[in-house]
Amino acid sequence: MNAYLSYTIRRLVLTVPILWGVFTVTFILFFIVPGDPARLIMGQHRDPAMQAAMQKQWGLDQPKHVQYWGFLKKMVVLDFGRSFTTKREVTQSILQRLPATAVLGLPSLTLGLLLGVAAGLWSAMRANRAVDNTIRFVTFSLVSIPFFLLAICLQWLFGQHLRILPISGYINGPWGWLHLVLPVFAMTLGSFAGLTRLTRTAVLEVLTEDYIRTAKAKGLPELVVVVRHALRNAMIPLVTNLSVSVAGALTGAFFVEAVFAWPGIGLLAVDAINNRDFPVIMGTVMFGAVLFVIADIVGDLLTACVDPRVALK
Amino acid sequence: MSTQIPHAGPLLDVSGLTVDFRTLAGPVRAVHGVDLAVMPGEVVGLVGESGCGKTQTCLSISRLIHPSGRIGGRHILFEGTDLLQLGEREMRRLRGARISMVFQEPMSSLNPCLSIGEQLSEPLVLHQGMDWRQAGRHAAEMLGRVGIPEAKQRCREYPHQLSGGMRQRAMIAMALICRPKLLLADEPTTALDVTVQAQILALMLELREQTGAAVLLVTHNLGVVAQSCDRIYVMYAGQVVEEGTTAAIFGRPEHPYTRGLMRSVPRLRPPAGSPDRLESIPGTVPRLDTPLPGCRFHSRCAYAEPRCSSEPPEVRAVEPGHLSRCHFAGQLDHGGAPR
Repeated sequence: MNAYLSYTIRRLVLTVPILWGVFTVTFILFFIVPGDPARLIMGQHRDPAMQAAMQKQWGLDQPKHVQYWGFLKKMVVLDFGRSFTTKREVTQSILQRLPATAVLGLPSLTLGLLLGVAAGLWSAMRANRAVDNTIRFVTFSLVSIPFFLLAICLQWLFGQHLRILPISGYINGPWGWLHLVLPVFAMTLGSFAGLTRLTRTAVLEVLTEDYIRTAKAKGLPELVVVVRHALRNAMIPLVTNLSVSVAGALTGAFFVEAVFAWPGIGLLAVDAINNRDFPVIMGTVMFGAVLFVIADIVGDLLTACVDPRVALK
Repeated sequence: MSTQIPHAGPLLDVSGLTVDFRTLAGPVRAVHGVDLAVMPGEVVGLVGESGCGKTQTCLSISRLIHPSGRIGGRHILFEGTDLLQLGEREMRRLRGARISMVFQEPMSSLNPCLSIGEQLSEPLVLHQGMDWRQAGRHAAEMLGRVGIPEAKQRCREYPHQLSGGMRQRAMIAMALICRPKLLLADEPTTALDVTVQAQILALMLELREQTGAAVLLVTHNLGVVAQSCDRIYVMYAGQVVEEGTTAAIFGRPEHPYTRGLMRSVPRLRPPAGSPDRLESIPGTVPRLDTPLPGCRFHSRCAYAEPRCSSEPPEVRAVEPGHLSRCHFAGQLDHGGAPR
């Protein structure tokens, strides 16, 4: 356990330069991408004096390196400043939106993982037969369809055509969970498809290994061979790729929240990008980066748990 | 379903075994009518070069060939029961309990994610209904018997923490833990260091004495068979070309292929009159996806005559128990070099 703890601490220390890099790239991108936030807020009523005043208020008139250092210093204490458009504290906004995203992301990631591993396993056990071909066709279609298109199709089918589910929004109250169904479904489909394909490939590869033949030579039934001997080894690439799955879910959240008007961090980020709202962009990007890095560390720790050959150094 | 055979009969009696594979290039018959018998407690060698079908023969006895393959033939009698007629469930009951296997690569043949103890215990839990704790104790004891020191500690370790020789010892312990009647050993020493090879071979033979298991030893190493086998089958291109006691095969090889094999073994003191260079068999093994009229060895054979390319040779008994699949069996000149 001690090895795990010291490994985690060392990895967390290494996180600092990663986050600094993310900050720098985001900073540069913001100033490369055209569009002035002050100009966007004013819309059609352009007033150069007011534009200059706003830029001065936000510090956008200062030299770039001054802005860079000023922002970096404040970010160390998690202060991203206030949103250009809503004037609210960025950290506050993110924390306020966090539950909505969690309530969407955690169930869909869990469901996608369980269903994906089960379907992938089933597919691999029946490789090249009808079941496998069906699963492959469905999952391949799902990963090929753009996320937002899939979401819109679901809205049309369940909201417009069948009229059994609300198409968007977020409501507190006894029937509020109904609003959760479509976005969770959409996000689950996304992670399900990817994980099914990943599991199928991993299990099929493991099933050709010599130790599977050894297990069969012991007289073990097929299910025991697959679950005890194959799945455990096939899990290794899956947990190693945990950070990739989380990143995928995060990207999915951007689209899903935008399409379903779900008031989570994804929608916050999309709005911020549209408004060139630099503090909120930086806040949400850093939030995503931290999530990604944590998922990566957890994935590595899990890999060490599953695979006895991996030693944490 | 099963034909009862007299008690003194063979433990394993394979007759007319064929193994066919469907490949992208067309059907391939990897094993072409193999007859083979193993008596109780006997050590039988199955020798031949890579791709001659010896591994497929071995795997088809426990019906573990690749799913794309099909096993055919008259019968595979094991203790009087025809394995070709058994259902998968009955077959599983035999595997690991009455018939067990040792494979070539001790590194890849053990599951890297399960401890040695778990892997050794599995057959006991499955076939003898032990609980895991009880099985674990037996596993440690068995590991001690195959000469692994600190067996209890080793049981908790994983395959990558053991050396190649140790892993093969563990494999053998695993194969013999349910006291099987037949051990199918597919190149058990090939992947090991030469010094370890002799130890593993000695260990297998010692345990065979103790448990009374018969062994079918598949190898391409003539030294290994000479040391350990009572009888030998020589395979070439999916067929058994010569069969006999170890003494007969090494003393009077009656098939040109067996002779070629013997001559390609390097010797420290070559017999007088032999060439300076190590001999080899010219040519390559014929492709099995094309029809092979005549003798399968004729294109590489130093004794070949025109009839060899058109007329497939029958198996002939040169002396009782010594058979050769050659038109000129018993007429090959001994001692001198072929023309």
